[in-house]
Amino acid sequence: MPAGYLCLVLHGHLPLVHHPEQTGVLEERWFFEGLTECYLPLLNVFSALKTDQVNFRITLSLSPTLITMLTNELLQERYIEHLQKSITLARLERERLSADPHFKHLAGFYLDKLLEIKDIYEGYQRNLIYPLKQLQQQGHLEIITTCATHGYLPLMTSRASWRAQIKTALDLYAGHFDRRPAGIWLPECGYAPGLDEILKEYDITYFFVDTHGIANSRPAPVYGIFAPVCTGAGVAAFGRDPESSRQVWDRQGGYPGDPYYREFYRDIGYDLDIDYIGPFLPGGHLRVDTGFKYHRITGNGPHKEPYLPGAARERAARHAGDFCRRRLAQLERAARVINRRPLAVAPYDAELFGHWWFEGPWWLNYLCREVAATESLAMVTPTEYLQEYPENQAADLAMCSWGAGGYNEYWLNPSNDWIYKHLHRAEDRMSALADEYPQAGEPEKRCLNQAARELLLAQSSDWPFIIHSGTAVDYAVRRFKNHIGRFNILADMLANHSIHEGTLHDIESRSRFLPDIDYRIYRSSGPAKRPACARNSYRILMLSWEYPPKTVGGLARHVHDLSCALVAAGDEVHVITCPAAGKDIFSLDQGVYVHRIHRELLTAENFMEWINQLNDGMVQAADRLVEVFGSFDLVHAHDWLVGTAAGEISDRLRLPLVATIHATEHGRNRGLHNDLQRHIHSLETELARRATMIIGCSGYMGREIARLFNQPADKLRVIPNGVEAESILSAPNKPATKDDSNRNIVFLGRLVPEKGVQVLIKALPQIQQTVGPVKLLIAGKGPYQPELESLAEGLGVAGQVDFVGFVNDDARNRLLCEATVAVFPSLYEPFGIVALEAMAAGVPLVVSDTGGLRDVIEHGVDGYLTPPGDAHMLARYVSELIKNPELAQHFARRARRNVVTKFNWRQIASATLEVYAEAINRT
Amino acid sequence: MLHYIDRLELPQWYDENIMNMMAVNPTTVHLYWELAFGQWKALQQCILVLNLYDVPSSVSEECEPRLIRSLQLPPYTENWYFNDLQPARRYQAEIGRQEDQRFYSIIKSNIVYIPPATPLATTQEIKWRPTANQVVAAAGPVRQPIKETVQELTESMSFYMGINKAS
Repeated sequence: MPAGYLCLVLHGHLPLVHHPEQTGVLEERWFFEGLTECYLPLLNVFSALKTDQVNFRITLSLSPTLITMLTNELLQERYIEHLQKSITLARLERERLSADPHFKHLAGFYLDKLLEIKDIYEGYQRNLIYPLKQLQQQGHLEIITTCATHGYLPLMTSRASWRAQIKTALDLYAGHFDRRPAGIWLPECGYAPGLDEILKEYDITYFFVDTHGIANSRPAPVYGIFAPVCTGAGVAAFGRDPESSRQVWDRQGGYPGDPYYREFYRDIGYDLDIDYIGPFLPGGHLRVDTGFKYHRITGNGPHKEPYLPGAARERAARHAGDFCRRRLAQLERAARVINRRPLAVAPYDAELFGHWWFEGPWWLNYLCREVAATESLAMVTPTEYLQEYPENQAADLAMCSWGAGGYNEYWLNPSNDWIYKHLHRAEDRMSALADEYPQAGEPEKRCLNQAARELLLAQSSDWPFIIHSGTAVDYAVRRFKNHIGRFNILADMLANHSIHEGTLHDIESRSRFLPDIDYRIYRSSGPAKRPACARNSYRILMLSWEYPPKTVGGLARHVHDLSCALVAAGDEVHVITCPAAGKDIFSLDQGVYVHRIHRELLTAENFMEWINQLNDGMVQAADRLVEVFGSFDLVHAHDWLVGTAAGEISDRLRLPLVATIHATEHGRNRGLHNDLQRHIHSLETELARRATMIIGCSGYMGREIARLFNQPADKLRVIPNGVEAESILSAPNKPATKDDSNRNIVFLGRLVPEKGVQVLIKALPQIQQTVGPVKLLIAGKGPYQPELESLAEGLGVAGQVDFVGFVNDDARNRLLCEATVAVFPSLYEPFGIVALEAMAAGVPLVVSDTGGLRDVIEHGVDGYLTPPGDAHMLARYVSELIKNPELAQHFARRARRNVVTKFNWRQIASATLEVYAEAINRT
Repeated sequence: MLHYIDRLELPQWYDENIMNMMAVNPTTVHLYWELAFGQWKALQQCILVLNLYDVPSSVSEECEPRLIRSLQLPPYTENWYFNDLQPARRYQAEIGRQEDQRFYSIIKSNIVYIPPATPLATTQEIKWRPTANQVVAAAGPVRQPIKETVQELTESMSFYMGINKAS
């Protein structure tokens, strides 16, 4: 039995460099060199190992761009031409060196190699995918893939971009390998929190991170990097073994720096006379690497000795033995302190082998043989390891990468930071287009798919990498600009509803890539999948004192929309609630089981007594429901009014209890001023105490709940309220006008001091002074109206303030349509659903920088946040939007998009399911 | 002569209010911004101020964002790096201007969490979790955490992959 495992990972990637539109593009040589020096020699090693029946395991990641180039017929053709030219040069070289006393032994060295390479390539019908697929079927290789264009994920702004990079890659892989990959190579090992959820969505079992990704995870990993950790979504993260890396990668101390190994930086492309070598150089004169290198590293100085292949090969064997012994010693040491077989993960860029480190393939060959002959060490793939150890330490990983410094700086620094504004803007625009065209016909579909390709290609991590590393910068910059530019052309054509067939065709012809791409992957809502941690379906007992058609505040609407969204996600939801006129005690309402308490049970005149009766009725109803429908998975209670019943049902039926606290008595009254308030506060405290998990609807509410009820932060989750944007008619995009005659500031809400309407009325004179005549429309009723009226009177603005009274949904929509700007100047606001409704209606907003409103508005991006109670600042922001209608329209458009993408019920149901899963786990 | 789709240039201006912050590493953030043309024109003559706030996490602490850096922006600046920040914290940036003794905030960035720079020193409860899509087998208890190994790993980090900052 082995003492430990070695997991060798090779990551093969080149950016998509293919220019069908012209011949002789210098950068296409990257791929040709990769084939000659790296991919074919590696394949040759694998074949030899297989022939010799060596039991080896290698995990090989192939990027979709590399797979695309390997299978592109024109590139295959061009490679053969390139190879043929190299063979011609090799023949000349054999002649030249035969007469050279120092290099005679190398005459024919490259000719033999190149002829062998050509034979192998032709033998595989020029397509490397077939032999690789075979090696995978035989169990020697575990082939995985990486993101579509090797996009660097931590610096993308949207989940839609993550999905697009990952899903299109998996589809392309499946098309070539007839299966889904088990794991993924995250480009540059770039991880950011949340990515694991997306990987889980696509059934990815594992990924790799750098050492510190594991070492700095929370809680600290008890096995260090000698075992993977399991992320919240249930995806395994394998950490790189730094020792294995150092021995191979390190320029000074690593194996590739051995004096007997071939010197990379001495190439006849630079060394020989141009008359001789010119015909083999691009353009006949451009000095580049030819691959013909005759010196060994020798030492640090400029003097280089002739290369001795035999001695180098002997070194490669020795280094393989050394690597094997060191791994064994390291793993044996680790095995003494952990109670499982430790694992060393050794990932490398495939291009290191053969290209940068000429002897790399030999080393790999010897290493596999050495390990196979060592009883106490075995090679594994991550899948094999996870089969043996499916359970791993739960840990949260922070953002990390394997680039210089370990984070984002290689791809984000003063040399390349300018690319991100354009990338982020394109990401956002692509999602907006995908939302706008849920089912595009032709030619829009082609245009959208091509826009998606251009965005993906612009996202390639290679461009910022090359720009920062300083070689081939012009090419990388040109490619980046072209992809962004082409994306913008396509997006503009779609926006203007004028697709020019010739332009579309020309752009398509430049990037024949991801033929099966579907632009809809960019939709902001994402796929309708349940969160990874949730079971397939829960049976939920929902308690709410109000439910439509009975609506007093926003609670009924919230419970209704959440219940419907949960049903849509596959759950069974039973709501117990009050009786309502015209409703039976049981109804099936849009898939939700609604059970109403008998009217006869609710006889009390006194409100608190009535609440007690309601709660008693709910407990009885719950007992009956269990008899009829079977047991529930959990109870979900909304606010203190159902708290007693929730606690009792949870105890009697031994169910986890989730409580959503929509607002607190203390917050509503800004303190507790009488016995009733204190009593309600005690009921709220009891509900919070008994709840397994508590949901607050904003960060502000989360903190208030934690503080008022003395609850630990880990019991609290923040999930925003949602809005059915479709049910709110978007205000027609009013032409941006500075016409002074018809400008309305609109407020909607109850007329109570905490809503801050008095601040808005106080701001009105200053607003009028700045922008001229303007009307204030106040919709809503409440006890504070008389004070507000006299305030307006006192300030001399009563003529411009219109109290329009209570409005129903239709009147609200009409009012919002007439609004120049909507203002919500609350002093206390747990969430502020009405702000979402105004956003959905496309009305520019100014809201108080308080409570939940702070989480809703992105200040200066889709609205303004103003300090609560500050009439001067409120006037300043309102005036700014009235004065600057173009800006107001920008805000309104952005706000409408944000509300649709961030505050939709599907999203909220998904977040709620995560809380359910956690509550069930905890009990 | 290249076809025009092969020599495209980037737009100078998107005419939208954008302010985006990104984590560079555990002590640095980068942000870029653009103001819609109308607003930019109105502010052309003003001295703009860039603020950076340390933002408490949503439920764990109760306190307002804390202003930790404030500077006057040189004219025509459109991006900035904040260095030497405390790791494992949340940050948000803001641009505004001073008006009659008041700070008038124009735009705020997204909130960015920058990662921790070191392993967690304190011990937390360890849980075990099955990998999704894998058959679960019983995993035995941990005999002894290999703290010294984790420590060594961290100390050896500067060597590997030629990512040694000093080299």
